[in-house]
Amino acid sequence: MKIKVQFNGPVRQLNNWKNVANIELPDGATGQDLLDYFKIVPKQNRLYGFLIRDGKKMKEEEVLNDGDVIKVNGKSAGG
Amino acid sequence: MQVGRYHRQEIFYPIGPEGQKKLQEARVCVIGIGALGSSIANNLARAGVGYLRLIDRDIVELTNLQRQVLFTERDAEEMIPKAEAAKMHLSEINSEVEIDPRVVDVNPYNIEKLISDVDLVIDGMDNLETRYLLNEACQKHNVRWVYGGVVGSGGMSMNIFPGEGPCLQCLLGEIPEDGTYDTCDTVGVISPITTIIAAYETAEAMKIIVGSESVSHQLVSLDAWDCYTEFIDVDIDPDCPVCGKHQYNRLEHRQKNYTASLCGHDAYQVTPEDDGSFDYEGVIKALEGEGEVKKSRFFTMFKNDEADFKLFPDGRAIINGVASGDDAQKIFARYIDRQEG
Repeated sequence: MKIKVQFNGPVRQLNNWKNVANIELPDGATGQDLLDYFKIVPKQNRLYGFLIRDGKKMKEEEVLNDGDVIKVNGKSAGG
Repeated sequence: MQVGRYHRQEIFYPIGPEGQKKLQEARVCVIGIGALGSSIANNLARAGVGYLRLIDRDIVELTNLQRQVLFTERDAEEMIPKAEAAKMHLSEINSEVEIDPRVVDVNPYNIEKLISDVDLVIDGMDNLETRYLLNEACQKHNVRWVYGGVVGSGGMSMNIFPGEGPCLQCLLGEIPEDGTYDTCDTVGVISPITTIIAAYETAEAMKIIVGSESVSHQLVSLDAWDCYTEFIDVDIDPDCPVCGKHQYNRLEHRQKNYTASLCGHDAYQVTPEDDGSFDYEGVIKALEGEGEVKKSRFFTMFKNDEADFKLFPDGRAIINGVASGDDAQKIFARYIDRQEG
């Protein structure tokens, strides 16, 4: 299935500073599989915060659907 | 006709004279008076919020002036603590507001006392550890707070209402295992995003105080460089250890002398347990004769061949030029705690 992945702000670093990646994942793939595709390990990554689908924070274990647009959001730790 | 200083807010229908009265009666705590916090404090003081507790452990530095709107070159030259400099400038802007500056490190010993007697806490912090500590303290004491964070050109903000909605840990999960993540000190930050997020936090604070139905229940994430803005629904995590299980591990993790690395500086901060027994003048007297002692209004600097530190009246010390927290603890024990051997 085809997934569009958007990286906004500093997390673009996780996609070679590009905002968008169009990827293909097997049917039944989850948000975690998407993170694995980009070699993002949430608990070890300096930038990664969470995933967004349809304007809602999604859990990594949720199953993706063909045509999903998934946004990768950062942590915003500074001030 | 003479109109009052808050006229423009009072004729704004969602606030009105009733809302203005609520603002003037409100007690608000801003933690972190850096880029976010100085803008927030500026906005709230001008809006006439009656009591502002401004908390920051740091001193104004030249590198702050690019984005921290309250401070001047003179503040940096005179090494004035940010909370004190903010009070000085805000008092000239609005003398009706009670400004309560606290030059302290927020830590497990003092955070509950700092936040439990205010109506609202607003986040101007520069790290996740203190935010997670605040998250636990606010859950425990049922205090509402406004999260706001920035890095690079992006930022986020969300209102956190204990017992009603998701908490910070529901949103971000645990801090990365190695405790490192990017901050403004490591990847930079631009002033437009700090101003935008601070303005957003201030607007939410004002809405919360006046009891507006327009208070946001979503996270806002935006980026000033990428022209990106998104409002995001966040659910309560039923397995959240903080708001779900009421486990306050950070609040309960108290060490005798709490040590923290100061991001972007070759320094560690050591904070002793606050039992009210610290004898600031006595320690300074003991330091004299062991090295160079320079006293300012707000702290004392000490330097010799072995140690280089700033000591604050609350007993906190910033130890410069050390490679680890253990090395900082040793210097603290030798020169401040006076534990020989």
